[in-house]
Amino acid sequence: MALLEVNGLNKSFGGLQAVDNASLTVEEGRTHAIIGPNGAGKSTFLNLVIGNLEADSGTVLFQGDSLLGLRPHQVNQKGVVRVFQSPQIYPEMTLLENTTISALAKRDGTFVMNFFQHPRRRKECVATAEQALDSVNLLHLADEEAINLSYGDKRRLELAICLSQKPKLLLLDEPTAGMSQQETQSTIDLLKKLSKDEDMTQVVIEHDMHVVFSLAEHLTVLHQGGVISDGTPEEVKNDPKVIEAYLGGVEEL
Amino acid sequence: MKFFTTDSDAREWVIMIVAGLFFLSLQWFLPLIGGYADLAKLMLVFAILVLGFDLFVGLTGYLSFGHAIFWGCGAYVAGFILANLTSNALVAILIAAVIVTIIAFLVGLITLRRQGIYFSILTLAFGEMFFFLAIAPLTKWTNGDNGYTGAEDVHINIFGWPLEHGNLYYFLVFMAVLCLFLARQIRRSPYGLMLRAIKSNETRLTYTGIDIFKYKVMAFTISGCFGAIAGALFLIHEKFVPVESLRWTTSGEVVIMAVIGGVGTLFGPMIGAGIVLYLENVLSGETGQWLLILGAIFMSFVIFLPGGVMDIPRRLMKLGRGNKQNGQSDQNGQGS
Repeated sequence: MALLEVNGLNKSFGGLQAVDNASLTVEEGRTHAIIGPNGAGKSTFLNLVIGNLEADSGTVLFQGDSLLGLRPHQVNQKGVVRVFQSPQIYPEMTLLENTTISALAKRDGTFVMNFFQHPRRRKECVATAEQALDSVNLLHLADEEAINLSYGDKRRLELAICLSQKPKLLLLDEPTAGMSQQETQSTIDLLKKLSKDEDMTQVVIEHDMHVVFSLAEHLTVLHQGGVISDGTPEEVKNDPKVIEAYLGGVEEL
Repeated sequence: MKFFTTDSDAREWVIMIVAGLFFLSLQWFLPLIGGYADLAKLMLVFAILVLGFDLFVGLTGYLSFGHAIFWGCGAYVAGFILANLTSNALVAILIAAVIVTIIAFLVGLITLRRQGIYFSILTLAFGEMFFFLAIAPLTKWTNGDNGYTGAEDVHINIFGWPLEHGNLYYFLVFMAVLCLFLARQIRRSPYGLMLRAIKSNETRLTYTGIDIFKYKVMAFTISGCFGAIAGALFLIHEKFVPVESLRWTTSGEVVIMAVIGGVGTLFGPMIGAGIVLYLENVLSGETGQWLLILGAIFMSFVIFLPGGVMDIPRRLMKLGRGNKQNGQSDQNGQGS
């Protein structure tokens, strides 16, 4: 079943057509990668889906409901959670507080509940938060301030923040950018594990071909705002249009 | 030691008792250092105002320059009630709090749509608006430049218990502890956690499914309510409202008090209020240049101790530990 369906999405900034009639379908439980050269419109595409930018035309359906016109926090409450390219965490707070915030927000996105919260429900949220920290192997640092973490750990913490919301769809914007080889590999393993164990649907935007081909079960290639290829990694790799437009002269991947 | 570093209900009670005893001791302790007993009352009143200010500014990180609105309006409304309706202080405080809470909600709805410096400027503009309203168009009720004197002859009481001298002092101590308790409970709640998250990273919080605008308006409204209670208590204490209480200078004074005490610590700003009032009242008797001295103190706090008075114990502890560690490493150096 399709979890996310995007049809004929358009967005232009002045004279620049950033996203041009882009369509894609994300199946439930799959890891779907969106690739393309710099300026292909990947990030704009993500911003349109998440409600950060307003689309000129097109439809975005999540579980059959339209996401267009919703504000970012409303999109989040439907279960679509975004991981940013530069880690967005709460630097002055402890790791556990970082994840507890999103666990609380998920359970009681409504405002009244957070004001008069029952202690027992709060404990449940803290348990969820600890579980999320554990899944990214940061539980032993739970009482540290987030600002003291290394860059790679900050990104993993952000992932934990998102995981403690138990997302239906996880959108990752270059999850391994700026990481060392070792950190990249552990992130890949972690994402694979989440996809397998929790059957979590992931959309990954990525540059690094190694990461893309070790993660993705389905690929969409964007070029100058439009979709030029869509299919399994094997199909895309052998698509002449992709080789010409994006992969240039590189024969071997 | 663990008891004081981990959050628990028992710790809250201990803090409340200590704070209450501290507030009570002011009346004996102040005259010893050149103050007078009435100054203690004024300190408690201002402490509540600055506490409310810190509940919004310290947690969300938005700098409000309009807290004089709540303070001034609270005092005026309480004055009208006491002069015209009843001499029961509790009723006056309650009605003032309700009316000013509504005002705070409306002001918050408009000003909180902007962020950073624009928000500060908007609150400042609103403050000036209320000040000039009180001076000219509403002179009939506020008595304009001369200040409100309508409640001067009222025998203020709580259900017959006269609220004067010592009684008033104990009542103020009770109110200050109650407000501190409420403020700390708000900070401990999930709601307080969200407010701190607003200060830390608004983007993340928005993409975590929180409508931060609602949270900010709520915090601003609660803060306004604290300001109104303080304003009403000020009227009960002074039986007079100078029109300057609505002016931006009052808002500025609140900011100075909070910074000296330590923004975000809730108890610190209450101490800061005491320090500033002490300097204002005692120092001004000694020298005409007290404003200059206050300015210098404020500046040195911002530069050398941005965490305020409440940061001093932590710094001293760190200093002590640092010396110890240095000593150890020296010994190690000699050994190897």
